[in-house]
Amino acid sequence: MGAREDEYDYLFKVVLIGDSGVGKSNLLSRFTRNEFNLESKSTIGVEFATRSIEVDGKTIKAQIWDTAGQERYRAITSAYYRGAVGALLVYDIAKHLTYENVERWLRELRDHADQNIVIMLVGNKSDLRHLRSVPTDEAKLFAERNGLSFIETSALDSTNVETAFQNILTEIYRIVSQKQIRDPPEGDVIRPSNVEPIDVKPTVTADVRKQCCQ
Amino acid sequence: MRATIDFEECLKDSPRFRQFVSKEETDIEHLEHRLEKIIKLCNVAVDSGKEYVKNQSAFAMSLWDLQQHFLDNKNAHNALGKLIHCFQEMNKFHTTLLDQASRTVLKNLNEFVKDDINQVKDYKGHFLKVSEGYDNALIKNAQASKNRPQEVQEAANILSASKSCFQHTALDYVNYITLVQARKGPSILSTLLDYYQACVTYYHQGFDLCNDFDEFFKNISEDLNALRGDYHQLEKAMQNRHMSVMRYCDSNTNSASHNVEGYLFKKKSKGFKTWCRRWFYLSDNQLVYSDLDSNCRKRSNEDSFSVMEEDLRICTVRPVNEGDRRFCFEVISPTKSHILQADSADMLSLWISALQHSIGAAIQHDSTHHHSRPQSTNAPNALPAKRRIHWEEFLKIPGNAQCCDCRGSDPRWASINLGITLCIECSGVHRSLGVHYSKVRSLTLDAWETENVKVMMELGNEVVNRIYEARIADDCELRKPTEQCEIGVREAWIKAKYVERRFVCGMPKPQELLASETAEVLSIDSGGVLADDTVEGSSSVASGVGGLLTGKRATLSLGGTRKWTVKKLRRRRRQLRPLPKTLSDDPSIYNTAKTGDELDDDDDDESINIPSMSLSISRDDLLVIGEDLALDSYETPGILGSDQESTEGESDAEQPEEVPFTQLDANMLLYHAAVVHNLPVMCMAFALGAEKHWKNAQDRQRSFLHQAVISGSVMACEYLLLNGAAIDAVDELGYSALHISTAKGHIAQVYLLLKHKAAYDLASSDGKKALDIAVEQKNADIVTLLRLTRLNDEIGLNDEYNGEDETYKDVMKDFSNFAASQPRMLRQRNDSNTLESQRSSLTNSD
Repeated sequence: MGAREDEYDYLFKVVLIGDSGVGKSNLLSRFTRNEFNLESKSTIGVEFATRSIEVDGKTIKAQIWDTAGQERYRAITSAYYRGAVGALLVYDIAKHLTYENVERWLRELRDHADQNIVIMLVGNKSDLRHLRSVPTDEAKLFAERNGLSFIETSALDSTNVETAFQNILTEIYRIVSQKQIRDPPEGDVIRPSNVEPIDVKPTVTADVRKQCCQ
Repeated sequence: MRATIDFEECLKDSPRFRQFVSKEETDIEHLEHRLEKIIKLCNVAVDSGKEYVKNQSAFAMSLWDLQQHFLDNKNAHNALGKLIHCFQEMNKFHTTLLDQASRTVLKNLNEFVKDDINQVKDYKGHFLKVSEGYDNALIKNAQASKNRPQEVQEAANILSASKSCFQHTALDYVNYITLVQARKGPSILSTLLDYYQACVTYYHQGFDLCNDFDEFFKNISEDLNALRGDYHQLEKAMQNRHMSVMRYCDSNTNSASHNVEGYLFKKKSKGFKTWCRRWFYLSDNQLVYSDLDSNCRKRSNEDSFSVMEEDLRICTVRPVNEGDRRFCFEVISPTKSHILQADSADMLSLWISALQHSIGAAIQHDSTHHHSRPQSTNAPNALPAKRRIHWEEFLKIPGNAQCCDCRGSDPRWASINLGITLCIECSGVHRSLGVHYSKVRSLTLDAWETENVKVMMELGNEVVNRIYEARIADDCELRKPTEQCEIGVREAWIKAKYVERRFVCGMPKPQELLASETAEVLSIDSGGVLADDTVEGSSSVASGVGGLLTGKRATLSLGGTRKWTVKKLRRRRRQLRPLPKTLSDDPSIYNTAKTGDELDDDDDDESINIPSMSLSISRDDLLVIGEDLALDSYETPGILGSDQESTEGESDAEQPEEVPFTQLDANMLLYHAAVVHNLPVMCMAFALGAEKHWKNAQDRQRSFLHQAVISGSVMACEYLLLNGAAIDAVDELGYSALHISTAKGHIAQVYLLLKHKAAYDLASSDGKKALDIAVEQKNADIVTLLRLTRLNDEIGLNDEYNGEDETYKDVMKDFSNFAASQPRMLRQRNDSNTLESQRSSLTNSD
């Protein structure tokens, strides 16, 4: 990135999570430095990178936290998710186990992250067509059922990497700029009788979600 | 008796006989059908009975499950147990009954049908055949022509034979029929009687069973009446439930209660600026909220309460009118601002007035402990208290109940680098000395970091005055300040005491040999508890503090074999070696600071009345410095729980190193005290003039801080840093304290150093930065800490509004909490992460 990214309108923290070896670090290096390394080492703790993009004429700076997938290289878990507004949950389309573990990662997000965190399911290594073990339709269906966006990428040949980050950041931007999210989404059960109902317009979340995987 | 037929008639084969036979046959057939039907139905009954019993026992089993529900209600639990027992007994009886039914009714009747009736039927076939043969013989005989006498003769023979055969068969047949008819009555009746007996037994058993339990259940039903009465009362009370709505509203709006608690919407300060509903309350000058949202869903898996504002006295509250939402107000402290939303205008004004009142009250009643929350003793709410330290605990440290300088009562201030408490006047003088002499904090107004608390714990006014006011008698021209004295007296005194250090004790000196002159060097300190030496030490303390140092100096002519070492300070008993006495096996003593077992260690050591400060010879030629600075056991203040003692999380250093007396000076003293993290001795070394930037030329140019880092002690590091130790000092290999703590995997120390702004980008002589070492060692926590700190600095550089990123602060706080509350866990994480790499680590300092 040539110029200094001194000025931005929004700073979004996005975490990259998923099993060890699915290509999180390469996704990040492809997006932020346009680099790819076939022999990259396991991430220890967390690595950071930033890149700014434009959405609706606003500069959005993404602060991306690339976390260790391997349990023994992970620091205190809560650190990763604090203040994160987006998460790219990455699996390897050629390794079915990494897809099966997506549920576990979703659980971890639920336990530690903001309720409104935008999650995108990313099937990486789409270049490995002949080794594919996770059908696109299956993952897409899973994503729909869990309210996630979905995309397949290849950090190796750059397919969809830009789009993935662009989409999730746009989605976050839409939500944050709307500022009309209710928390928690379901109504409260125990509510004193003198509470005035708070009028909340429907969020655009649902609409935005559809934009991701055309 | 039913009619039987005359044998005459049989022999005659009269129509009456035939009539009788056919009548009996139908009768028997009829009987057979009936019996078969009975057997079938009985089978059904037994089967359904078995099904019933099966379901019954399943039902009883389900009752067992129910019983578990009443574990907390002993009576109900008991009664249920008895009832279930009853039901199960009944079931057992029922099973027996069914068994009897199948054994009597089914078996006997089946036998009757199969054997007796079938015999008759079989014989009927035979009889018919014989009867037919007789008929044929009659016909043949009739047809025989008189012209053929041979034929006639033959026919007559056949006839007579078959006639006799017929007659016998007929008689047999009648016999069978008659017998069956005669037996059916008794047979069936006895069967049913057996069944009846079984039923009788069944009911009898049931009756006995019920009799046994009769009293018990009678009692229960009596209890039940009482319980029903209770229930009705409760129901009546509950009928008034809607009244409480009215009352609640009234009290909510009218009462000037300042114990407000309830739900507020809280606007998140980061991420999505979303609103969430949390339970807020005021407790102990803090604004606290529950991390559970109103659906009781847990958000974080740590504690369930968060402190929003630690000290309301530095906060202001104002309503917020801008923005979309109604009923909003803002709580502003010097560092942050929180937007909260109440449910109604009334609640808004209630909250604002309560907060304002709390702030006012807190400022006014600075000195009295203020309980804002009525049920703050409730277990789930006790958490803030557990995590946080109450300032009164500081006063429990020996000497701290009085100002360290003027002995004024109720000190409310502290000097965190000296480890003392002060009254407000003296604290003012301390401030004027400058922060390089004294860093003043408020006990009540400031937020205290764990490591500062630890330092305070280790020192205290008594210990510090033993060092800084050891020689008052020598200097009498200065007036000792008192609680009411003028400011000038205080100033002069405090300056003389801490800046000029005029009353400081002398350098520890060796003592005469008292017993045999063994040349061996032995360290007696076995890493025991701080207070362990009280019995031995108290005598020396008593004389040492009172009339001490009046010049009875020991002669120094005792030869160069004398050595000194620093008492290792460890309050917590975590023995690596077995103790001589098994007392330490008793876990209960782990919690008490004072145990006697170390006395056994020192049994044969003379307890010496030591004329000089800080001098205690325990083995003939070894001086253990710090023995008499160790205090009498005081109840470890509740500041840190027993699992969280001051030195918890610090590694066990080896036996304190022994050094010849020729090398005893303030710097060396501090250098060695840092290894064993003995804060009182470190304090003494500073008082004796240890130089902040000194490095040990004999030991790889290492600084005090290097030593403290190697010891693993967070509080020793903090103490050195508070007293101006150079944080980025490097040894001859270019390693800074951060390098070494990283290499050793001491997360809590790395955190501390980073908090004190240690230079993380410093490269050692071989070009390694702390991060390189952490990555090499694969220590995820330290890597994260280092990278995160750098990231934060980068953001800080670019941002217009300087100051730390909220997320960064939160994450660092997580690490700090984790390090403070679960040091052991951190150590284990370390061990598994980095044990291997630590072996080959660059520091071979031990």
